[in-house]
Amino acid sequence: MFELTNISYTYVGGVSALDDVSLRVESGRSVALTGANGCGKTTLLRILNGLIFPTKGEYRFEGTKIDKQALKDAQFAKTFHRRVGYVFQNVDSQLFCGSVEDEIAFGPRQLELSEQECRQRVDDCLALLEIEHLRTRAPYATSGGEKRKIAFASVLSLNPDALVMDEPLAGLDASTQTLIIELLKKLREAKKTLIFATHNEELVQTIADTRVRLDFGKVVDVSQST
Amino acid sequence: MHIPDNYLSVSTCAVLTAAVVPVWAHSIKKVTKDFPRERFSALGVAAAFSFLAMMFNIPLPGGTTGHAVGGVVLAVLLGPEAACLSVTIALLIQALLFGDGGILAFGANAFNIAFIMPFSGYYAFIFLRKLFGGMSKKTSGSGVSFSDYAALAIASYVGLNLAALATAVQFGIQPLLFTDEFGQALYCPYPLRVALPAMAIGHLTIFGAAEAIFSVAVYAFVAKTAPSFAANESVLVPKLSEDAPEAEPLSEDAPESESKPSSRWGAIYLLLALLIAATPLGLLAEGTAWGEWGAEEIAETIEVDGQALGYVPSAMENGFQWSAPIPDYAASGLPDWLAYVLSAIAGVAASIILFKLASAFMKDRSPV
Amino acid sequence: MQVPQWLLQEERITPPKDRDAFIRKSAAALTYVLTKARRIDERQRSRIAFSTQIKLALTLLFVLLVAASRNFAFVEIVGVALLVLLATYEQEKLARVLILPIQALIISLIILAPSLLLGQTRAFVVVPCKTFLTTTAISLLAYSTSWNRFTCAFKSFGAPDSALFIFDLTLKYVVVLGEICLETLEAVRLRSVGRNRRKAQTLGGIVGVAFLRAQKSAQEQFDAMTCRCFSGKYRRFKAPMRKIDLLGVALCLGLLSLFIYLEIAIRCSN
Repeated sequence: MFELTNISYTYVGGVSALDDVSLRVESGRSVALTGANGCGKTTLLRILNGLIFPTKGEYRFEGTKIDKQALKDAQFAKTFHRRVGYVFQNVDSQLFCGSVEDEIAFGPRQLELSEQECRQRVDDCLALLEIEHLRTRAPYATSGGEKRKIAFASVLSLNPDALVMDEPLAGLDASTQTLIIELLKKLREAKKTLIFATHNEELVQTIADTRVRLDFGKVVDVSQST
Repeated sequence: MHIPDNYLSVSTCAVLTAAVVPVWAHSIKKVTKDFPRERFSALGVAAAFSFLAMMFNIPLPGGTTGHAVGGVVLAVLLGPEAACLSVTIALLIQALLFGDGGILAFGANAFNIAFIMPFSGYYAFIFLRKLFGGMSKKTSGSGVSFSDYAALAIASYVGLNLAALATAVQFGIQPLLFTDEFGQALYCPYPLRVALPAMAIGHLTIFGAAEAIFSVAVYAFVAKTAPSFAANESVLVPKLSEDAPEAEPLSEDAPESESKPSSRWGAIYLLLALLIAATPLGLLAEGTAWGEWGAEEIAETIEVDGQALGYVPSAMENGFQWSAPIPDYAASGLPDWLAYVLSAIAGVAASIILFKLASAFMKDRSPV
Repeated sequence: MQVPQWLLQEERITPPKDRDAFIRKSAAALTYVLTKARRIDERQRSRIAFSTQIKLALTLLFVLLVAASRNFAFVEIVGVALLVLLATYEQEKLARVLILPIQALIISLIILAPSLLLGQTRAFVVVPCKTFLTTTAISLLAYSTSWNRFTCAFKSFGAPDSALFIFDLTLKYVVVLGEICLETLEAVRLRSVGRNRRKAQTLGGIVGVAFLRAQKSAQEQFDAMTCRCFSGKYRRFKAPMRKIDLLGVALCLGLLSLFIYLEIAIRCSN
């Protein structure tokens, strides 16, 4: 599904974030990216989502090369972003609507689903993440854990085939962590592709098939997780 | 400077709103062109920034504090059009969510604070920078020349004071245009010769200084730290990337860098001290108006003294006792008995409110 | 690990006096804003609350009519009605709603006091009364409504969706950036135990950090929107109406007819 070949990425100013990384993720697999802070995990995830493009190397999604040119085609870009969901590390930038229900309906509405279908998806996602009571609240007026759940709900409402997550458990209390882990387990059973960067060993153990260790922008180790 | 409701006539508010609408339209058009798809997030952020900027207290020499609007520094950083829209949204939030500035007077406030201030400040800055450009080449260690800071400080001061002037004029024309048949003002009662100096005193001194300090402080910080952002396809600082492209790259300790700040800040405080010292001059420059006002005001006080003394107590009575019958100057379509019933109800309601408020305060004070 | 000796001993330095009122005042202002931002809408708590568009319409109409009225009887009648409404409130709500109007009343009395010397007695009575009423109305609206409900109300008045989006974003960033500023201010306050000679620079740093964070945030958020298939459209759910809203409409009409009746009355009496 995702295929990165000899990818490098250098930030403006010459800081190298990724150096000759190759990675293949088949559909339905789940991959954990681990490594110290600043080792290039987030950069890699951003490339996977087509937010930035590698300075060297090639990124293919289901055989289609993803670059500026490909994403200029609005139709294709929408399909691509619909299929690959991204849960940001910083939830504050991810949530931008005026109420939780609108936040969740944002994606489906961009796809021009019927209003009834949107409503259905909103209801289901609210129930799935146990946040029905937040329906009309403003996302910015909720707690950190609630924001994370809203972010998940707003991405899941697009029914993505692959879910890319940056530190999905960071800053969450124990019960919320459990809820998210349970959710990811179910998504994995449903054959969704999961790619996540994390420092959480439990998450790697329970969810990931493969662990990819990054260090200073290079893949240093790929191992099967048990 | 925010005009509350009831100080301007409804028609004045309508006229000023009509005047500011084309400015909004122009700004939206310009911003849509300059900030392509990112305009939504960029504008929202800028508006929030300008709202928060207005919440800050600015430290002034001598330990006092004052508020700044930030309209000019935003205009310099984002362009006057984006600043106009951001400040407009900030004003809307203040009026609606915080009751700061009137709702009907919203158009008037937008005219003064979101139109006059950023636009005049911006063009003053451009003009002054050109003017100073030839004179001084001394840089202050962050790629922005000292003359730029001087230009910004003066432009902020000018922008704020022009906005204050417009506000004062709007107040001042009210008694000229709107009075009842007894010559009693319906809205703001102060004529221009009172309104102008009253606004000028605060804005030529404290608020002008606060604005200048605020602008320079924010600009200095952003200019020092922005080059790295400017390279990063900046959304918010297109103007600045133009201004300081050859600035030295971001050093590790940029925010706290000690590039002779004391001399620079010393100079700015000196400038401010000069401005403050020059304030009486500014008032004198209002010329005859200021001089005359002092004398006339006194004369008038003496002139109407007897009348005023006779008048005050009854006015106080009407003002402070809600239950007072309808004042004689406001004719009414109500029968007397209804007026008395209303007074009674008002009295009861008011005392309940007072009682509740008092006990709320008692609860706060008493140790639990 | 070698801990330096001075860190293990008790410190005996009396800090010099400094005036850092600007930090305290700014922090207080921001805290005030953030508390308001987290307010939960009354409609979620109470069954008898009007929907926001009705409340907004009623408030705007009220402010407009009070400001426009030449007949003081109108101000008296609606004033009494408002007082009665206020009297039914519980203490805490009452105190919070009334802080703003009481301040406004006192300020306008002070501003207008010299006008008595000019013989302008009418303005001295009428303007503060009207100011008290209109600020009370706005304060009530703001107290009982959570911020995001305002956008819904604007929508039902036909505001374009893109404007609503910018308004929503602004509110969001007021909270997000406000939190950043407050944190930075607190950090500065906790560390300023000595004398800070470069206050303006400190302030420039705090606001500047917020500005740069804002700019980064705007970029990141645009990414997040792209990831969720943003194509330039923004829509909001409409707030459902309740039966009680009809009462609100009736109130609007009543207010309007009272105004017209009294204005005609004053014209005729002249």
